[in-house]
Amino acid sequence: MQEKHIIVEISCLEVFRQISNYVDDDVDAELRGRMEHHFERCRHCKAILNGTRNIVGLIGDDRTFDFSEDVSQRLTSGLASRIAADREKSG
Amino acid sequence: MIRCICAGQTELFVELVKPYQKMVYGMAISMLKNEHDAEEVTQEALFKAFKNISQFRGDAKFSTWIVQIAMNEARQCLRRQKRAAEQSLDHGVEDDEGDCFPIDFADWREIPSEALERKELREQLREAIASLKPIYRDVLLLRDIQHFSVAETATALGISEASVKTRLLRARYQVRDSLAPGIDGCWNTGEQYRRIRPF
Repeated sequence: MQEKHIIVEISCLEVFRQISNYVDDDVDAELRGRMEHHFERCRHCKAILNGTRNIVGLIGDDRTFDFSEDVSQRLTSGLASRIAADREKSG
Repeated sequence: MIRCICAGQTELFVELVKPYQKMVYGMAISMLKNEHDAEEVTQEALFKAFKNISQFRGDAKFSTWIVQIAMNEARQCLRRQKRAAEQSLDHGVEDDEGDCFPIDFADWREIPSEALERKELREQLREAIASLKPIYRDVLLLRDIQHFSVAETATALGISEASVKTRLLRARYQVRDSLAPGIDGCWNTGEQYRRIRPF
């Protein structure tokens, strides 16, 4: 006899609360299944999921916050000078 | 290396923190929105880390320790500029239980990452992040920019892991909502726009 899987419905409200954890893969398998079932049927929640996932990708992209070699060099030489001055001061 | 620095080989400190420069600068610029201030704060934070290196006990990761110093330094800079009180992008809707709901249901499933080549998108993203309330912004910076784990973020900020998750949810929704006008009108047009707003 084939085993039947019953998926318990989940509300949009609960999905809103959990989308961030879902994107981070930080929900258990049962909740993941319920959310995926919901996303197949609710275009609003699917839209929120897509947008949130996209934002996380953009924010984490290296290009969002440039860090040039020039800045790195200035920081390195500035810090080295301050440490040297501190060392001289403390004798 | 830290032991050597504490023992007097102070010149090694520059080498020790070089891999963390980008992380500290990233924290600073996303809080301050200004490259000059960010560079100054980074310099100051790294020097403070040097002065206090003997206090680093190793019970937290070095990155967590140094990021705490950087965040404190950036907050002090904000206070000096009297900007902190003005910071608010609190346009999510909260209910009595503290829930936060997204306010825009547009289906912009994808802004191509190439769009980040466009200065206006990068600026709007930075603006949206910098305008978050500090408690939300700090979590977003550590989780989504520095890629700290939930546990590391909780340690760095001295809050519970549950608070990290709740604040992160709010931060992400608020950044998403604040970008929605640009997403509709600027970054995507034509067929892409119809895909974003199918209903």
